[in-house]
Amino acid sequence: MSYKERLIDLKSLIGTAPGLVLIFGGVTVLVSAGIIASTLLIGPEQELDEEKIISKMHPEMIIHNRRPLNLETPVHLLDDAVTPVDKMFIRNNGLMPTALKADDWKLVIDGESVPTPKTYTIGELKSKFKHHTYDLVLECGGNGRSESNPPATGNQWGYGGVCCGRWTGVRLKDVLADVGIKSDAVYIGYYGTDRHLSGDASKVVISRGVPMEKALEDETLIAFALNGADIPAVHGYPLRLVIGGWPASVSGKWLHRLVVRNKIHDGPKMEAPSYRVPCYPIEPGATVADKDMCIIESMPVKAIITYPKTGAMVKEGQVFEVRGKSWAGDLSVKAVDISTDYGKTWQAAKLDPPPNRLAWQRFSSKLKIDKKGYYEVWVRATDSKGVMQPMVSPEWNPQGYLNNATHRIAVKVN
Amino acid sequence: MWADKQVRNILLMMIFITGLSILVSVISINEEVNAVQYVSLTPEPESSLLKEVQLGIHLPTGLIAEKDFELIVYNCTSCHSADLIIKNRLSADGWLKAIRWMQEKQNLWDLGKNEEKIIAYLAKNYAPTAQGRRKNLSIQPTDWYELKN
Repeated sequence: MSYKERLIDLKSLIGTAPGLVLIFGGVTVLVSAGIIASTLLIGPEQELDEEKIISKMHPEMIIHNRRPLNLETPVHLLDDAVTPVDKMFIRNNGLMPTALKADDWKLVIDGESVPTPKTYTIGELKSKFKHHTYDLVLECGGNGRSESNPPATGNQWGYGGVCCGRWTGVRLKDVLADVGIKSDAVYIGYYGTDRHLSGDASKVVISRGVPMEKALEDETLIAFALNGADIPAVHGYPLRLVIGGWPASVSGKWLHRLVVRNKIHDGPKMEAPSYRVPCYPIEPGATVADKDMCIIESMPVKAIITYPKTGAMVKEGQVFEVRGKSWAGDLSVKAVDISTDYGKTWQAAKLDPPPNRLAWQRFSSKLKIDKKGYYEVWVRATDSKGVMQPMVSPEWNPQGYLNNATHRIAVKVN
Repeated sequence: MWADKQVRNILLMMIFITGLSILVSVISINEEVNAVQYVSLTPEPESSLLKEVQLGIHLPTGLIAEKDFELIVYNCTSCHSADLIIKNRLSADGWLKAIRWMQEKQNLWDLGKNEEKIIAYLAKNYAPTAQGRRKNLSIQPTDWYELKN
């Protein structure tokens, strides 16, 4: 039968009811086959488009940069015990990966201190090692940068470049024990599949790491889930190295290679001035030689008021709750105090213990102001070693890192 | 017999079209994966950028449409969005340092004779403001709200 004849046959069919049924049936089969085929080929949909990612976030999120994508959470949206994904700050140094397929994802572990490099699939990681879940504070090293004076380049973070998600994965130390590492190991480093802004495929966007001691802590995870679901693409699907308490840039997204080094890792953004501060205090605006810049390790003690939102108006004598979150890098928080008189007097807030090490701690307090006027509520946390937050900007540094000056909200009493 | 043949033909066609649609979807997926976004650096005629200016702002980028803003659009926003510029405040020296860092680490090209103009634009329109050791809290009249218990 020729092509033309077949066409005619098809035409004659369209006129008949059974023909219509057949054609509709055929179309349905085709559409389903297409959907099944594409699902099998690309796996579940992973959102990689920046604008679509923004549209799925809480509408009040602050956009610092659309390319690369960087979003900050307004502090009052950090009131949840565990930060939901739509209120989780987003930090990218480069462009999102072009494709993420969990099924054929491989994690390679090598480096000078690995005698026999090893490769794991996600299935192998999940089946071979015990799963652990921790609430972990991830805070951008530049959180609070917008107060740097003289100003620093980069995303101008307020106080909301922080989150505490519930991460599930396997311990890096369990995996490294299985790989077997040499005694000369000093540092680990990660590699992801994000793309350099310039489009230069030979350039690595960011590859940072931590010393072995931090890498081998119980809470250092190769994570495959966040808040009980797959990690969203923008936060590192399908695998992320998650290390709480240190600048969040050590928590490498889209993890596909991990190196164990016999020296301090030297990937992009390990070098000065990235994620480094002067090794000794300098005057604001001074120039610092690269050799005098030290790698940031633990983040400093900090507290944020997540309720009420700044701008609250109350009545004279009205009792109102003030609550928020506090954390202290590798340490815990031992006290949170609140002042409504610019730091002249302080009252202790009720402080909860963290659900696990490196999680944030909730605090709350009841306030009552008897005289009308403009007030600021200041909150100051003290870490387990007795170190407090400063009330003005701490020591200046060229990139505006580690600003942990006390968080403040405005309150009017009528 | 006639019906049998028809059904067989339609089934064959369906199989053929299904195969074709799978093939097409595979090709289109691969194309998507391979599509690295290289942005053309060929400057558009100046007038086309000016057409996009309203109330002194270049709408597609948000840049202040002052003298030489076109140079910023051409040389900066092919790699990153203009947000990164708009939200920063630096002196001429600070902008120069930022440009040198991008040239060293981020493949920014030599800006040639435009460098001076670019820095002048940035230092004028995105200059630091004096803020002391700690700024006053910034609160707009519309930010105030009644707190109910």
